[in-house]
Amino acid sequence: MTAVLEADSVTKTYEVDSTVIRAVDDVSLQICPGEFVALVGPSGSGKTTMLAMLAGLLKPTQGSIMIGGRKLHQMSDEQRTQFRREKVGFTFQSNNLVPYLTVRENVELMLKLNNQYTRQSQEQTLGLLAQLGLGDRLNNLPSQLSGGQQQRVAIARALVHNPAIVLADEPTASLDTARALQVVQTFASLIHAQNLAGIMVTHDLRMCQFVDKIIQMQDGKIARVFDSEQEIRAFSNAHMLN
Amino acid sequence: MYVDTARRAAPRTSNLNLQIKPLISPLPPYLAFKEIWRNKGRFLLVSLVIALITTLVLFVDGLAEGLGAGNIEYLQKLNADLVLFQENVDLSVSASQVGWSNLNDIGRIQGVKDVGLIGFSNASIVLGDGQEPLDVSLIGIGAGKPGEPEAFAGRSLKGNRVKEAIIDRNVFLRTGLSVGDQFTIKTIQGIDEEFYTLEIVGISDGRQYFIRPSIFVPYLAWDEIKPQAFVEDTDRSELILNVAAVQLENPGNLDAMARRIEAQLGSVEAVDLKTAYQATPGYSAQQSTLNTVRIFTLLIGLLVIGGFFQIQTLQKVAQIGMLKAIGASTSTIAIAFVVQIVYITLLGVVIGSAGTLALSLSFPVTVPIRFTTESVILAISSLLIIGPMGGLVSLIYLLRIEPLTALGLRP
Ligand SMILES: Nc1ncnc2c1ncn2[C@@H]1O[C@H](COP(=O)(O)OP(=O)(O)OP(=O)(O)O)[C@@H](O)[C@H]1O
Ligand SMILES: [Mg+2]
Repeated sequence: MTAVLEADSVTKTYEVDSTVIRAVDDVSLQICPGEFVALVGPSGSGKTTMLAMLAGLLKPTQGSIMIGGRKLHQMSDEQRTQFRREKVGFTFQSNNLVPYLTVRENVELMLKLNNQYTRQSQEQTLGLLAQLGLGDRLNNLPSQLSGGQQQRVAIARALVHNPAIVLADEPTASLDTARALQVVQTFASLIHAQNLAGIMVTHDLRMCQFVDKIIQMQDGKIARVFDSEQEIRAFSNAHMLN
Repeated sequence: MYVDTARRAAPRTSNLNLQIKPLISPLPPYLAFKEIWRNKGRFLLVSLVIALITTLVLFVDGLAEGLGAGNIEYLQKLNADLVLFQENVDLSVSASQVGWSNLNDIGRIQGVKDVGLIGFSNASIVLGDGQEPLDVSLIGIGAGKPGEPEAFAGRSLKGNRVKEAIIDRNVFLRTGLSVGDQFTIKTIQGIDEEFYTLEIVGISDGRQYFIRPSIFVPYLAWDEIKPQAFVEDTDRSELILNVAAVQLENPGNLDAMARRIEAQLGSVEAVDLKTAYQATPGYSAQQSTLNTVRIFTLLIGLLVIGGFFQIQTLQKVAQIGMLKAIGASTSTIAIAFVVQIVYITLLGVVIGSAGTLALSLSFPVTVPIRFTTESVILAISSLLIIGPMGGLVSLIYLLRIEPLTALGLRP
């Protein structure tokens, strides 16, 4: 299968007081449609920086990123914005939702941004929200929801416009374990059902039981990759014990 | 392999751009009004502040107009092109003296169409039923000459020897006197109170002078009625008034005619109406004071609106970063912001103007506040401009928020 997302020797360095910080150091990876990947590693290992580059929000110092056959660095700022709008779904660690829009309006915002706001897509929104267990929360404002519910709204928004890839930064950071597992499981099943490429940054290693590949980072580099079912099960079970 | 893919990808890049977008996207107003609707209290508060500022600006404007009119309305509306003062009196109406003998000399100057002398003084109208007497400007004019106001009710003065008067609208409103009525004027001559009876033959529009309503009487009656510090026992050879109002055959030729009149007559100063009324004591100082108040009020409005939107923007940094990250274009965010600020300002100005109108309807005629279409339009448009101006800093700030902040990173 051809990869929908390819990073080729991507490096990001920062210069602070004449010392060079290699936030991401020569990372290459490929993700195919229908593949859900976890990006794990200790704090400061470069996970969020990598995600920002994959999203076209940050320019790599070196290397190139290609999504759906297009090189991000060859696009203008405007094209990158349009690209994110059409081809990328996002969930963030915090401040995910527009506070003055209801659950339903937050999800439909993505459709409106893409001029896809039709009767059919509205029904799709309702179906998606029902699947995520939010069918009775459609007209609530974000402030009336729990952290887990807010993350699920963000997941619906990330998926509703049929993107090519979904990028999730710490989607479970503010949730307790039971709820976190539930959110990630739903997320994984939707990514698989829609045949998307998904990347989830997390440092909660227990969340990895639902993914197809684990990329472990350390000091900006890829330390290890687990991509067989046994390895992944062994990895996440080991962490379930704590 | 990469090169190959890139080449194949190239056309797709341009396809993305070809997608037809509606010319005016409904999204920015949608976001703008949703936010206002879900934060009604906060936005209404700012609108009310703008409404109060609007009221203040309109009242200061109205006061400037009203007080200004009270001071100089008669001169402003004078049916003349030039006003002649005595030389070296700093265009002071009360210090200036222009004698009857000048009248014919002025009339004979080439290019002068007509001329009338005007005398200014004051008096009180005695009102019955224990009412306070009304202080008025007593203005002496030549019947049918420049200086006589047009009577919109009744008629003009019959001649220079009649015991007739034209009253201005303000006298009419404040006394209830009307055409055909006889009324009594009281003045002080020396140490005695003197009373004169006149008949009202006409009513003119508002012609206040020296912050008093006005009555117009023929020269001779004026000379007889006007208060004097002492009673003169010798007959003067000549009737002395204060200024002369000159109509020109060609009003476009103002400056040259003023110079000609000054040259031919000697010892007079000829100026246009504007110069004449701006020289009225207190007028310029009063107007510039009120102007300063107005400018400061607008400045306060600018800062209030600017401050509110800046605080709001600072609170929204994460949210705006998120919107940009998920693909909202900078223009969507900018337009939503501008829609919001224009709407809030407009709402405030409408509330403020309506409130001002309602308030002013309840004022008695003695309140020197007057709204002219011109000044109201000017005030409202300057208020509508300060809203967006106040938001300019916030707008630039909004445009600069990096979508990267959504991930908690800095560039
Ligand atoms: N703007 C910047 N200037 C300097 N250094 C930066 C900047 N942004 C990130 N870094 C550094 O890059 C490294 C990687 O940061 P990053 O946020 O990607 O780590 P992370 O793996 O997401 O960590 P965490 O799990 O704590 O979120 C860190 O050492 C960080 O200090
Ligand atoms: Mg991070």
